Amino acid sequence: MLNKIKLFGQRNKQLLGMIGAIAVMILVLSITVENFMTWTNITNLLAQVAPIAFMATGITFVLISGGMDISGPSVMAASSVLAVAFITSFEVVTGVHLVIGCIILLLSGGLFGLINGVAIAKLKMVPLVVTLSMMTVATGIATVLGGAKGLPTIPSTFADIFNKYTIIGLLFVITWLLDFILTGTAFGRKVYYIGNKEETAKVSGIQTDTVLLKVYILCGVCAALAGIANVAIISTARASMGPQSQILDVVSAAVIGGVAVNGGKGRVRDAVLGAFLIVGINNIMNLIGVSDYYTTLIKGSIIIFAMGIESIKTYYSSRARA
Amino acid sequence: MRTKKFKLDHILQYSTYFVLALIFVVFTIGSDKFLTLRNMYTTIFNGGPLILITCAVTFALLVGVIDLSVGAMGYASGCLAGILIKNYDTPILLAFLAGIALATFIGWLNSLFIVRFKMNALLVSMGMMLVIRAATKIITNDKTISLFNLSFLRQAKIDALGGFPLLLFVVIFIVIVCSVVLNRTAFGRKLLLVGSNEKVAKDIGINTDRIKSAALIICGAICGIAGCFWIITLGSVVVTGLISYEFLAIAAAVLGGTSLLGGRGSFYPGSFVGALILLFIASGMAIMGISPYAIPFVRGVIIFIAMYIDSLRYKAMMSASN
Amino acid sequence: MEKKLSLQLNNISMSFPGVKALNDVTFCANPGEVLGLVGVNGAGKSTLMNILGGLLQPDKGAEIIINGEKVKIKNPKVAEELGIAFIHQEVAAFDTMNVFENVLAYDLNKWRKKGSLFLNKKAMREEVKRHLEALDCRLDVDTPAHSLTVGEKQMVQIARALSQGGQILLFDEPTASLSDNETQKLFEIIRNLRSRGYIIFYITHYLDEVFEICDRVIALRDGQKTGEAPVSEINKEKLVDMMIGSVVETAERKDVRDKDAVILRVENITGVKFPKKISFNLHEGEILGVWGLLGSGRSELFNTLLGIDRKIDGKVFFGKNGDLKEVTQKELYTHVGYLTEGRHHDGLFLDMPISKNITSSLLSKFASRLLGILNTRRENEESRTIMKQVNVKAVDENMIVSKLSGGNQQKVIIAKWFLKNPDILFMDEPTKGVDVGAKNEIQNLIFEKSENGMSFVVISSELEEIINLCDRIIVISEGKLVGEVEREDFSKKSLMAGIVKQENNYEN
Repeated sequence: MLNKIKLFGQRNKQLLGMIGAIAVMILVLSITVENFMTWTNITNLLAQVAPIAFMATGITFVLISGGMDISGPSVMAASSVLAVAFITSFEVVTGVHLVIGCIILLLSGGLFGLINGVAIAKLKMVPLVVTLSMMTVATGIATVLGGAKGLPTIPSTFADIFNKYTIIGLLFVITWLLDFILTGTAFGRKVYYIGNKEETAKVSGIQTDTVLLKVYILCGVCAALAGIANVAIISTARASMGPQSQILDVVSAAVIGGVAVNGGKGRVRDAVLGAFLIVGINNIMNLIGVSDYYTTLIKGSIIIFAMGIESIKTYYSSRARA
Repeated sequence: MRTKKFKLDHILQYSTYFVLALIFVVFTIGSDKFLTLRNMYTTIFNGGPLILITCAVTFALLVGVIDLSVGAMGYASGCLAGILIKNYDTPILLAFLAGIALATFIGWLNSLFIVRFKMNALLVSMGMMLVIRAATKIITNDKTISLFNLSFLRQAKIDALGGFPLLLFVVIFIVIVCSVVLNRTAFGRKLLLVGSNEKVAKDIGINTDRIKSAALIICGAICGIAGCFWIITLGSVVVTGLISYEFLAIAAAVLGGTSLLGGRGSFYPGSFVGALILLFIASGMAIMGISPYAIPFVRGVIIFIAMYIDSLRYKAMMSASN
Repeated sequence: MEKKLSLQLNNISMSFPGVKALNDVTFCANPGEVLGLVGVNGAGKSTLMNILGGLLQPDKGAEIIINGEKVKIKNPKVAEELGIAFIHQEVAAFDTMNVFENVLAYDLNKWRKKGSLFLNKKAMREEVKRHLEALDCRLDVDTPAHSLTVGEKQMVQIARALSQGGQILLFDEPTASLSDNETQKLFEIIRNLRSRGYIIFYITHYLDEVFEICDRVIALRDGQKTGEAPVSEINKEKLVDMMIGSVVETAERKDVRDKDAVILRVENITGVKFPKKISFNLHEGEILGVWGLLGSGRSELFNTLLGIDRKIDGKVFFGKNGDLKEVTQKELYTHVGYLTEGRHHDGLFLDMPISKNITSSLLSKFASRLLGILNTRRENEESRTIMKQVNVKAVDENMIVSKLSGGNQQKVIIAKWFLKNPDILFMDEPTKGVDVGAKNEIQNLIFEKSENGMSFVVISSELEEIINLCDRIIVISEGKLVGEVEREDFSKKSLMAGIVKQENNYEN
């Protein structure tokens, strides 16, 4: 019995570390802030985390495969704007329109991801460069369609269905599902193989370009999911929903969650917990009364610190190997 | 066989000029107000910060480092200079020097983390950007600072040349100096050697760490100059200053033929023309009355094409060597 | 300018964990001499050159004496200062820069105009032109390096060596990628340099070249010097003997081939990295050897056939029980396993445990049909079983592969392909870097599997190994099939004869 616990601890070091950090965070908050441990407050917080967390799940796959995708927030904004533009183009909006709108949201996210994937996996272009361009294009689409004037609001039924409880539940389900796909299916295993050593994966008979294509499509769909959460919050869509700087939060969430930027290591559930940490820090500072900008300072320092640890670890392990 | 590849190389080199010419043609047709001396001067003058930051980031790219903190470094410099002028009545020149010193210092910090401690350049510079933005926001208390003392600098013109802004000489001077350093000094060639093949460069005795650090420090310094230029052209220090300039600058550099992988690139025509392309797209579209929100879209498409051409160039180079 | 540098190497030994790459090698080199260095793959030639070039440090007790003074060559820069210049096989250059910059890259500061920071490009160009003309090379000094042919890049390297003041030049397999013309030009240059007093080391597998250009030749085997003679006093057979050693007996092996059942037919394959056409057959249950010296194109053959490198033309037919059908590379790969030459490059997932490495060849076996859900318990069980079969020495299947020894790592890759149990297993140097004990184990495993019906195509550079292992051997030289030898006719003589004959044909 004791052995099993030890084994679990070894295998899930990152998870335990994250849970520990989050526990400390919650402890500090509940002591220093009144009304923190209320149901309303906690659920509000969780719903706030959702968009970043959704994007973090998608980007985990991309990072583990050794790639990069910085178009997440822009794709989220563009897909949301497309969907809301569609929905609000009708005089009378029915439930069917809402459903189709959702489908359009997810499909366009997947489409953007597909374009990224084709350029990266089939045309062998550099991921940072491709997704950088996609970011600008998607931002452009979002601003053109939903720019200064903004789009009209959609019926509140959407926000009622996708209320904070649904979103939290959805996040939970998607996290569990994607984590399982990553760690428990052949597809996920292939992503790890490719991130570990793409050449070996090819020689092993794995169709690397198909796998990578799917990875980027998935990332796009996850960005679209984040869009659903955001649309539910403001009942419309705006280009400013997805500021380009948000990608830094998403990548930080994954990095803090132990996803290696060079690929081959990490888990979806840890990245999502990383998102909690990042947003949690935001809110701690807020509730305490600290300004927004100090929190950005701290976030930046945490990233550099977390990466520093990774560099030191690889440095020592490579010395040991030699 | 070799002459064929030679020609392809030349064509791809001149493609930058070609794109600029194309843009001019398009917009001249689109509006008779485009091809005026006044428009030319205004666009290039207001685009001074972008041109300078592109030159700065080119130094980093030449040695194979992608520095995402360039926009933030420029911003920090301008901020500091602005604050000194407004609140502490510092003589203008001294304030500018202080700003440049600050940016140079940050460039040195970058070199410390990236070259000395061998951390991942992309993420260090991203983190640095975050930290700088946050810190400067705190210091300025998120308020805009108006600087009237600088208007004389902005308005200094040579009427004989149809209103040529005097400060444009500074930009042109810097571009020329950078170009000369790259092409005619040992240091400049060493930058390319290190970026082209760091391992062999080290083997033949080049101090690659020192060259890379120097490149990053120079990058910081030029960003400092860009920041001072920025507050002159704008006449005030705003919180959103130079935001996203890092992505624009890198895109401009790549448009101008600088390789993201290092070892290839130029200041003139390269980065200078690349920046001009992006600037004139915005200028032309504004003159034609097109929605400003479409600008990122058009820029995104051009950048995507440029990246694709760049990857073609790289493939041609690689297959030629086999 | 007469160079009069003499070089003496005494008791050079080089140990790596588990292996002694060089064992007490002693010889000397005189000015104006071309010294050939021969030996099979792994004999220690490259190690010796790397020591001279400052890339490796020899064991204690080694002495390197230049002009009567003992020296320690700590790094490439020191080697350069001592006048030693290494001309590599992999022509590493600065592709984005032009010729004269590549030549003078080693010390750009020297070329500054007096009292300024600017480079005197005119002087640079002239210096490089001078060196190139001395090599009878008409290259334009402003050409970008990436558009040069391999031969031209080599000229650039030589020009750089000369410009650095090198007096001892080390050539490592220089003609491997050169055309006949370029090879002749290179020889002229070497003769020229020799007459000017340079010491030239010449590593090669092309034995004819030894007789054409070298004055003396040194043979290495298993890290020891096994022969040294002036070229005029020996002939090819004696040279081969020095390289390879005494005759080895063929071991016991049941001939289980079904002589009529061809399982794989390859017709006229050519590819980007494999320009000459090749065709061959493989029978069911056969162990086919592919023999040839280093650089003959065998690995490229495998890579092109199996889709790692791009194929340009040619057909492949596969089928059991003699029922052959044309297949695409993707289809072929489902019936095939491929153990590559570079296990660290594309053979292993170094940071992953043994079990995940082993199951990577056939994940579908452990994945549910519909959703691809993995059964890790079964993965671990089967990994353990196969590990035992192949005798991988590790704590358990969860051990990370990078922590294993070279021989065990190789066995993990073998285990991986045994798991897939393909109809044909291609192996490129299956016992490279593996100690003698493990070598025998691996050979026995191959025998067992072949008796159970698996067909093998095996590349090996070790003559003894390939003679022991195979039923039939095809001989490749310079990318062409030059011979085919059945087991009955095996002998070192017949195999080397294939290559010698080819080289003779070449000269005509």
